[in-house]
Amino acid sequence: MMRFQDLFQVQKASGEPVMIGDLSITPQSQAIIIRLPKGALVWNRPTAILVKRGTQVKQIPIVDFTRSLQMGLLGFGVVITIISLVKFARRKEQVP
Amino acid sequence: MIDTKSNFLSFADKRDETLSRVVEKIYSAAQPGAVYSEPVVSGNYTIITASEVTAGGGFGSGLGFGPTKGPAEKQSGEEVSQSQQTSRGGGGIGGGGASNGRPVAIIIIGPGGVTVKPVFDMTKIALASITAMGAMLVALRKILKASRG
Repeated sequence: MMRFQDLFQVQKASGEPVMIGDLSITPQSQAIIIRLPKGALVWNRPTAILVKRGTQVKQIPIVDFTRSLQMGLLGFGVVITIISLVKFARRKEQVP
Repeated sequence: MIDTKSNFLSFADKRDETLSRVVEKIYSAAQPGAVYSEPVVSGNYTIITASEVTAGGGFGSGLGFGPTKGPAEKQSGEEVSQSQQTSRGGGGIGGGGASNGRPVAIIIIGPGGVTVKPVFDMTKIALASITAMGAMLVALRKILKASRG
């Protein structure tokens, strides 16, 4: 029997730093791994880059605007649908 | 029969080896190197593409074997000893997998510093908009019907 921790794993990782001039750029990513008895599923996405210049360190997040918009639109659609269905049900209850 | 069994056992070992190799390849998609491209230099600018990567795969196999009656028994109807029995079997392996990559952002390193520019997938946004609009239209129609009724 597989444990949940073995089955589902969230892994944050930093890649090899890329040196460009005096800049050092370290890519960071987050992977969600689902281990199945006879297979696997991996979803890996970039999260941020770490920019180092001398002693200064700056983290620039990488935002997936496509995903955010997609989720926003779908969420909006679902909320509107639920509200209208609730209103519809109430209206039906009021009418004898 | 012992030979057949050992053949099947070696088949099972090979299956496990193949499975672990396939799974390892899928897990390689979890590395940051799979998400970030190699830097591309053009003049004073260096460009790195950041992509979202999804990979998955599954594997299945089956095998079976058993004793079959020898030709001698079929002809005479007499029972055959264990040594005279032949064994037959079969096995098979099947699998499938897919991977998908989508650019999320472009990292531009230039004289002005480091900038991260997002990449918009207009097809995905359009599909999400159509789905949301469709759901809202259906809901609106229901409200209108309810208010009339």
